Amino acid sequence: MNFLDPFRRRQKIFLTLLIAGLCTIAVRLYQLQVTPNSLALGRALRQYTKSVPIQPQRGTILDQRGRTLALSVLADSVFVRPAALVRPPAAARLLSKALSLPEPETRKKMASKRPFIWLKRQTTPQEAKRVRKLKLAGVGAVSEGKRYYPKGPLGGLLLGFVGVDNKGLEGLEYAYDPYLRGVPGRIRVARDGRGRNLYPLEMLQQPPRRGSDLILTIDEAVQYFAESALDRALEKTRAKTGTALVLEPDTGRILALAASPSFNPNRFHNDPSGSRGIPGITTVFEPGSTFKLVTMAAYLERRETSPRDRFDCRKGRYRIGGRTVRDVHPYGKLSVARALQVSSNICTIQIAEKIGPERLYRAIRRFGFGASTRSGLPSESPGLVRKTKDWTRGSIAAVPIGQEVAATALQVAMAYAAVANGGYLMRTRIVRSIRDQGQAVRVFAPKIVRRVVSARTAQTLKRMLAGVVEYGTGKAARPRGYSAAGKTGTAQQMDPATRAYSKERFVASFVGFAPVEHPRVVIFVSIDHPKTHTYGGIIAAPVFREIAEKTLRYLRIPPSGEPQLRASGPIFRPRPPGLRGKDRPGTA
Amino acid sequence: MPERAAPRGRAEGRQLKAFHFLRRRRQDGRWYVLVCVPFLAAAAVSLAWPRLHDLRLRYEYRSLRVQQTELLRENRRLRLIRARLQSLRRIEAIARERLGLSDPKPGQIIWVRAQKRANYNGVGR
Repeated sequence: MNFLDPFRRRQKIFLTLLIAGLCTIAVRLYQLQVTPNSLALGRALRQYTKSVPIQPQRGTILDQRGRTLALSVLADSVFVRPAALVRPPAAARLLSKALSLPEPETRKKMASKRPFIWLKRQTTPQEAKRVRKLKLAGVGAVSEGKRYYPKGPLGGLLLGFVGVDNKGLEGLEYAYDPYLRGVPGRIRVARDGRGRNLYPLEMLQQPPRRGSDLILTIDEAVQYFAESALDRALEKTRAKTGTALVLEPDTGRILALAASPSFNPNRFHNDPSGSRGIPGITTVFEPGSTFKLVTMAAYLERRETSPRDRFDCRKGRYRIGGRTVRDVHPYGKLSVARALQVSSNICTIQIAEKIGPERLYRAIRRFGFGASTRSGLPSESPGLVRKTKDWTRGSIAAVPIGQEVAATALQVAMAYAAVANGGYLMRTRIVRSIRDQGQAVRVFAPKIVRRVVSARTAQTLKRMLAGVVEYGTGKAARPRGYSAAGKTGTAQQMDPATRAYSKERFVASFVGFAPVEHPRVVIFVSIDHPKTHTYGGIIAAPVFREIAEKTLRYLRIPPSGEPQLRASGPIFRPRPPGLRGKDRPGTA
Repeated sequence: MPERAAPRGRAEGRQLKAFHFLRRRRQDGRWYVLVCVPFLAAAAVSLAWPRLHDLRLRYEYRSLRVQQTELLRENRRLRLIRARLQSLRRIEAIARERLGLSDPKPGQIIWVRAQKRANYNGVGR
């Protein structure tokens, strides 16, 4: 026996055991690492990775010249995990101080048994910094998008607002929420031994997609002119509310949609007026004398009619359909053009009697009343126009002068735009385009809905409406340096108590366009329940003048009679295929 | 060191052989250790260092991502401030109150016929 045998034997045993052990480990490793093992894989993934939701950034709202009207900024939302808190009373005191919250409320929130509580959503950068400095256990912050409206109340009712969950709740924010919101993503990140996020591993579902930008047809400057003019008018007349609308007659694009009192969407929780809808779009009113344009258009569209045709105004009193209609001033025989200038109710009713209810009803519908303009604004009212079979005996004395008819400011303005552009009802536009990653994904081009009146009638109506401003009830509307055309309106409001027209509550309005030679803007102004005067020619016409003067100057429209300078951009002239020569708008 | 006395007898001879064998093996092993230890150390370092470096890079990447987010946040905040400063209400207030400006009267605006301008493509507008 060799003296080395005991060593070798032990060596062999040791080696065998070692190899056996290594083989066992190798087999186990193969089992764990190579063969599919969903249980182990899931456990491992949970240990070193976690799934983190990524909120998309909400799209920006810009005016037609690219000026920011609504923007999202990242803000920290502070949360608490009550179970992980050390000395909750002291933490509550420090947090309430850092976040400017009442201490009892904070203390109450933190005493909750729920595992997770939002302490304050969308804090200011200073507040978030103060909380971070505290380094409290069980307190954390998550970044969320917070919506800001840098222009404050400018266009507030139109823009609407967004809730804390980044969801549009009112106005354009609500109507275009699917575009603006974007698509959230989720990402899996590796985490280290302390649970800190290390780096993204892979996209789980999809990367977050930023919301699209909304380019409006609104012009911030025009919106400002309209809002400030309205504010001044409301202060002067001590009226309840006011609405102003400015649009391009050739394209149907809305340049401004103002309401007063305005509303600041940055502080929507404190202002209940934010949820009242968009005045001029969601609310309707009886248009009163501004509606006489439709009656005149229906009359002039008939053969062998002329604005010189004369009607008897019966010295200011006319009994029809069981009621007596009055004019403000008694008139004898007046031409159609003059009847419009002085806004004679009696003459207008007689004109309507001549054309008949059916023809008048068709004209009303052709001008777009009783149907939504499909502007893309939320909760747009179609207004109310009753069919002739539902008319009462007195309807022929009410409808032609804008009573028993409910219309939105937008419908009235679009009807005047149709006259201004040569007879075409255009599709209303509030959004110019939707842009995603710098590329336009949807462009809302001007679109003709239908021809409403012939070019000849449109031209005649333009001259008649210019006469209203030149010689009639709308003299206060004439902008300095520019020609203008339009019509005043003073509509009585229904008194809910007596269910009859009130003698105290009126809506004073003016709607018109300027310059007459080549209308660039249609402006609608209505003042609800003014206290100083009641007539549209006194209350609303000066507001029209102020907005028109500033807007035309801003759009670089040379005053009437000045050398015609070229406009800053191309002018869209509606011309449907197949229409030539005299039918083209602006050629009559 | 004093010389060790030589073992005697058969058993002693065997022990002596084993002693020398083990001594030789130990001497041989030293050589191996001298070679293997640096090799193993180098292997360990070459294996661990990239992993540590990778981890350090990942932490650096994370901090850069945080920095990027902060910068983007700051950019948005500055855009907001710019938009707020461009508010027409504010500009009008400054123009009227601080600079004493007022709306131009009709006679103060002089309209001139502008020359045709060329756009960036050189095409007259």
